[in-house]
Amino acid sequence: MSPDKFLDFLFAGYGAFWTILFGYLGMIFSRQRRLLREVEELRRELSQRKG
Amino acid sequence: MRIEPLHTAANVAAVVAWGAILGALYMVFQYVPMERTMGNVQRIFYFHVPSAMVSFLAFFICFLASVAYLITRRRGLDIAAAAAAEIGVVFCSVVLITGPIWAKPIWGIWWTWDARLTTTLVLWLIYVAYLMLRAYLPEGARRANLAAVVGILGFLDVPIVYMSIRWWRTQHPAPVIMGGKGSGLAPDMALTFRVCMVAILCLFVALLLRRIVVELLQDEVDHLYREADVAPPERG
Amino acid sequence: MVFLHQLFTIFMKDLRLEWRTREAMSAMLLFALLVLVIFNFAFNPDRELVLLIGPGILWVAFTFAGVLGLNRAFAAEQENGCLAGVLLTPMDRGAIYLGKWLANLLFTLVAEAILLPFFVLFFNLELTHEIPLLLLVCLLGTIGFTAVGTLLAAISANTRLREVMLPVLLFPIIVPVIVGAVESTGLILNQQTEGLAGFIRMLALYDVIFLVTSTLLFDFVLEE
Repeated sequence: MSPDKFLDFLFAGYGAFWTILFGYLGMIFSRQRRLLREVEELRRELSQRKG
Repeated sequence: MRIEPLHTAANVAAVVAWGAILGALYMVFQYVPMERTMGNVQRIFYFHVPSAMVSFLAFFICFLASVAYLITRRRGLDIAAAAAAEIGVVFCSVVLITGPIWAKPIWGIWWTWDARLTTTLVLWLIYVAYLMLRAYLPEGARRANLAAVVGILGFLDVPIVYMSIRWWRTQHPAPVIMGGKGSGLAPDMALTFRVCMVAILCLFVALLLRRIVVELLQDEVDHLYREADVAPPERG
Repeated sequence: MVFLHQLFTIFMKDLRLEWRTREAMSAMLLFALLVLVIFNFAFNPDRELVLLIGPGILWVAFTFAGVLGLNRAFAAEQENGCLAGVLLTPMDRGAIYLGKWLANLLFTLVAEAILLPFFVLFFNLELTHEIPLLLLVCLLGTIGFTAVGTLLAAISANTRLREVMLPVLLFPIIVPVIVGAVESTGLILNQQTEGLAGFIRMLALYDVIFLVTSTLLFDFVLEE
């Protein structure tokens, strides 16, 4: 196999690593953002009720 | 459990992990010379093998946390088990995808059913099933119990799977693989490997902490919904 | 003694239940028979090929049928709160597990006993003195996957989509059983003895390990 093909495989390998890592990070952080927003909204709601 | 200190710890771990990963990438692509027989494609080895080790570590943590959960019944341990399993699956996926990319040009085949590869695949299947079980159960003590039982059972299975596949393989001659990997790495390669090992370990810790923070946030949201007496929105 | 009596009570309860409806049994048998027929069309095997792929076909039929039976075992308990009723009795949880496991084991073995002659007949095998060894392998393999299966069925009965959840949980964990059972069946059908003892020992080891851990862990599965 020629060297450029090897390079293709090389980038394919690290490409897979980045894809999985950033995909997972995206999942986690979007969930975290949503949860933080919900916490904030619920806290506001609760303090309004008390006040 | 307080979220804020863990949140800070997760942020610090993330910064450390990114630094370590950048250092590792420098080592892999600039410092270490090209491997003579395998060429450039061998460079995936420096992330592939540490990912495999870290995924095994993650599943072991899931096992330990499951055992400890059944003894102490602390919610924190259930969270730790779930987080470890999920991140173990992420790293295991990295291993299973980068493996064939490396194998194809070197061995000429994408996949072979040898003991190590097969065990990794079975491990991945077990923990995906574990995560699926958690997703299908309503949140609560019952889910924690059932998941812990599967976490324990799944991990106990691993050595038996490995043994059985090795036995199976001696019956069917497999293609000869693994000429020299590990057996006598050149010093600069060994150094690069160690740096990558540390970097992937840092990444694992950072991800684990982040995942635990998110799960604690989820708990807080559920708690607030109960307190506000509002039905939480339906989630898929 | 009390433990054995409790175990026997649960076992007889499941037997009686099955005897009245014969639901699990008929489903398992028909399904396994279909697997044999479909695989026959899929591979259209000649005599040599049968010796090669026959063991695999046989164990796919056995384990798939086994999953059907295992799913039934706890689905029935979930209906009308039967399990809650069983749990109200002062029974040892280990005895409940072993009783249910023995019932599942018996159903699966009966289904296999009926299926085995069909397998021999459909694929034109000639078996004589291999039969005792073959039965031993069937027994050990079936003990293995029903032992884990009974525990996992109790777990998956709690989920939505339990029919999907059980095989997804069970099959990766019983990989050693499948490997051991298929390989030893293949060796027996090909009248080879080399390596057979190793696989049989491995099956027995698996059975012991998972029977013990499942009995211990079952307590946590039933907890409310």
